[in-house]
Amino acid sequence: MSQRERNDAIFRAALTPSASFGTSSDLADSIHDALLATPQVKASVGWFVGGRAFLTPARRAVVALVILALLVLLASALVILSRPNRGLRDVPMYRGGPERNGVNSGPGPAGDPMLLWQINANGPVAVMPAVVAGTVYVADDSGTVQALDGATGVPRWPASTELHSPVDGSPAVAEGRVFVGMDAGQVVALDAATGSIAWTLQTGGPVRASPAIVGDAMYIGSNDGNVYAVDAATGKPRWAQSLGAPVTRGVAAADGVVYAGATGGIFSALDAATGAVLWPKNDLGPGEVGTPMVADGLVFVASGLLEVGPSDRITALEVKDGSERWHFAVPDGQPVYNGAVADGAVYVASNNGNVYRLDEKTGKVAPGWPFHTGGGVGYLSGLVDGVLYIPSTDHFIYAVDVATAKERWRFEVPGSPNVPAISEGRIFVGTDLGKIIAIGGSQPVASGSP
Amino acid sequence: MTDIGGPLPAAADRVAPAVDREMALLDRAALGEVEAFDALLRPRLQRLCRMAVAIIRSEADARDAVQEASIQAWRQLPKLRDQTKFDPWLSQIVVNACRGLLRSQNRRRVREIAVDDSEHEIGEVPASIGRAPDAIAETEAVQRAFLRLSPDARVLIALHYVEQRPLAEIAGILGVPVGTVKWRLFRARRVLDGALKAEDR
Repeated sequence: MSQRERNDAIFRAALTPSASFGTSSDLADSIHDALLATPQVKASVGWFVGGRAFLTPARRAVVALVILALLVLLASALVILSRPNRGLRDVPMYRGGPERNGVNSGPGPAGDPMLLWQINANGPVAVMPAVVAGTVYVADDSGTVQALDGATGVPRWPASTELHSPVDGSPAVAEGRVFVGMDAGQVVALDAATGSIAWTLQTGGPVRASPAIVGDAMYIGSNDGNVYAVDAATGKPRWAQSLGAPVTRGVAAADGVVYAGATGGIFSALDAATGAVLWPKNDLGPGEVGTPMVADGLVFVASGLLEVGPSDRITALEVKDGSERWHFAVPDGQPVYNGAVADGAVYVASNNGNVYRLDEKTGKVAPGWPFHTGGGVGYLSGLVDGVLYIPSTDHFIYAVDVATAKERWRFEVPGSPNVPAISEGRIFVGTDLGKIIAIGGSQPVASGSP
Repeated sequence: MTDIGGPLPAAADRVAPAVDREMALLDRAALGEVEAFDALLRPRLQRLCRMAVAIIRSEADARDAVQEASIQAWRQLPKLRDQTKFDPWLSQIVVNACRGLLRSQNRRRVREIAVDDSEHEIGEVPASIGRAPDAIAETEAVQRAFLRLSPDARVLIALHYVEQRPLAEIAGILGVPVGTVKWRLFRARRVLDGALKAEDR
C-alpha cells in the first residue's frame, strides 16, 4: 500500500461518523412541524439554482445599475493616502520576480521573531503577498484583494476589492497596477492606489497562476492551455501560445524567454516577443508542472504535481536547448516543489516535510541537509541573506541558516502558512485559516543585515 | 352489466415505478403538501445527517443544520425546475447550511479570540474504542487537523472521504469546476498529511 493510500484510509476511518450515530424520529417530526408553519415561495421566472433564490431579471438590472454607479464613484473618488513607508524594498510578485528565484529583497527580522499585526481575510489565503512601496497586497479564496500598510496592517484602499472568484495565484504589482488571476478565468488589473478595476482579460479557463511582469508586458498561463502575453497598461493581448494542455501554474521569464509548463509533463521555452516555441520538453511525466525557476543558464522545473509517482521530481534543464542536466527526486517518492536558487545552490521542498539544498550544477544534496520540519512543505520561496524562511503545514515558519542547515528560530502562526514575502525586517504571510500576518523582530533592522 | 369502457389494467400496471412515485410526491410537495415533502425527506434524513456530521463534527449542530436546510428546501421547492436533480439539490442546500454554520462559528471565535485561536473544536470528537494507541493518536491528529480546515475545505474532505462522492458531483455541489475541486482537495489533503506526519514524529 502506498503512503497516499495509507493516509487516505486513515482519513476515511478518522472522519467517518461512528456507526452508532442515527437520526431519531424526533428530528423528522420537528421538521414536519416547522414545515407546517413555513410558507413556500412562489415559482417564478427568476433564476434559481441549488436551493438559493437568485434575483429576478428585473431586480438584477437594478442591482447591476447600483453596482456600476458605485464602481464609477470609487474610480473617480480622490483618495488621500499616507505617504508610502520609505525604505521598504519590494517583493513585487511570486518568488520575488519574473525569474522566480525565490530571493526576497529582505532583510529578514532581526532578533527574536514577534507578531506585529494580524488581519482577517475573507477566506483561506493560498497566495504569497506582494510588497511594493510599503504596501502589502494579498488575495484570498473568496476573491477578496486587500492592500495593507506594511507597518501597521491598516487598509490602504477605501474598501477591499471583491472579485467573487477564488484567487489561487499570487498577485503581481508593477507600474501602479495589481494583477491577479481568478478561478472564473479572468485576469484583472487593479489600480494599486485605490483597488478599482482598470481592465479585465477573459481567458477560456481558470487562471490559477501568478502573473510575471517584465517591463510593460505581463505573462500568464490559463487552464485553457494558453500562455498569454498581455500589455500591462491596457490588457490587450500581444500573443497567445497554446501548450496543448492546462497551464495551471506560473510562468518564469528571463533574458527574453518565457518558460511555461502544462499538465501532462509539458514544458516549453517561448520567445517573449512573439510567443514562438524555442524548444519543447514534453516528457516530464503525468501530473502538473510547477512554476519554474531560472538562474545561471538553467531552468528548474517541478513535475508530477497532484500525482504521486515517478514523475515527482525537480529537473534542471539547459536554457539554451532544454536538454536535461540533472533531476532530483526524494527517496519516498513524495511530491517535490520549487524553491529558491542563489549562489550555486537550489532549495526545494517536499510533502514529506523536508527541505533540501542541492548543488545547482549536479543536483546532489548538500551535506547536513535536508532540514526537517514537523509537517509538509509545499511551495517554497523566501531566501534572504543566507536565511531560508520555510512555511510548514505544522503551523510554523522556520528560519534556517542555509550554510549550516541549522534552525535559527521557528514561529507559530494560526493555520498552515503559505509562501511568505520578506521585506525590510518583516515577514508577510497568509494562512489557510484566513489570516494575514506580519512578523517582525525584537531588534531594529540594519539595512541589508540578516 | 353497464359497459365501463374497457378492461381494467393488470395488477402490475396499477403499481407505479418508484421514480414515478417520487415525481408525484415532488409535484404535490411543490404545490404545498407538507405530507408529500415529509414522505420525500424522511428516508433521506439519515444520509443527510451523516453528511452534516462528517462536515461539522457535532451531532447537535449537524441536526440543526439539516433542520434548517430542510425548511429552506421546502420553501424553495417550487423553484426547482428539474425534479430529477432533487437529491443533489437537497445535498447542496445541506452543504450550504453546514458551511454557513461553520462560518458563523468562525466569526464568533474571531471576535472572542484576538490572536491565539488554537481552540477550534466545535463539538465532541468521537472516541476511538478498542484500537491500538498509535492508531488512536493518528485518528485524533487527523480529526484535530480537520477542525482547523476552512469550512469549504471541510465540506470537500467530508464529501470525498466520508461520502465518497465523485469529484464531478462534488464540483456540482460546491458550484466550482472539477479542476478547482482537485486543487483544493490537494491543499486540504496536504494539511491532513502534515498532521499525520507530525504525529508519526
